[in-house]
Amino acid sequence: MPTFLILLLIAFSVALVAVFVFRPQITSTRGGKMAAFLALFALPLLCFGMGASSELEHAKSTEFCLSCHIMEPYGKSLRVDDPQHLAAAHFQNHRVPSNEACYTCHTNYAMFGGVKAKLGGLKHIYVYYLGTPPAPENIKLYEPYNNRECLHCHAGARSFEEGAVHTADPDLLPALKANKTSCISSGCHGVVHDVASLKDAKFWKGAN
Amino acid sequence: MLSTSPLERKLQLSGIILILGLLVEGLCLLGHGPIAFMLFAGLGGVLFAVGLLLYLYSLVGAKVEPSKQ
Repeated sequence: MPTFLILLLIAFSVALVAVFVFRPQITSTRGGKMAAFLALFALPLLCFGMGASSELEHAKSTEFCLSCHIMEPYGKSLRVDDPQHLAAAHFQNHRVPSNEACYTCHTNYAMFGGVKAKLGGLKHIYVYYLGTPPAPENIKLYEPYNNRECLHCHAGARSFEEGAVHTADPDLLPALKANKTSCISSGCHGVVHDVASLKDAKFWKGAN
Repeated sequence: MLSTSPLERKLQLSGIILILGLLVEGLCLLGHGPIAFMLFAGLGGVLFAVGLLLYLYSLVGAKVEPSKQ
């Protein structure tokens, strides 16, 4: 739902609640009680639900993730002009939605993955504002990247299942699918963000 | 400004807290950073919860006048 519609509903709710703040005696009638329930319970609850949904949706955006200064090099790494850079190749070729690039790869596609991502985000905000954030190149994932996140899109795709490198060794595909061999192993798709070497990189200026 | 009737006073307090919650929510929706998200979830959420619970408590705590038969 567009934000301005939620804001309109909030303004309407504030006006309605204000009526009961200034004229509480109208709740003495049956109709007044029902209106009070609507104004003081149902509408605020609806506003909060819609607002929370909008905020959570916005928290998935690339813009939101990159709004922390510490994440800027990771944002820049999406524009490196080199197809060997995994994150850049995905972002620039729209293999992930460009407006939700971070969330698409860094959420967990298992049960409650979205909730875990949000809780992780709250921890990041805490460390960023109240803790000692590490240098961008020292940021590490909480746990090794799971192939499940790659396979969420790539499993079943012809380029993945029949790719020359993937099929050269008959044990490779089962190992990838079982997460025994990482997709981002060195020599495979090992260059992901590589923020330490951005100084020497060339950047793509194609889209905004 | 607050009513002398306990029930009405609770409704007024609940309304004031809910208005504050709604205003916090509105302002946070205009913002785009993580601070807005935190304020929405923290301050806005607490104000909403307190306002709604106070309203419900005012209903439960209201004295029912005995019916005259």
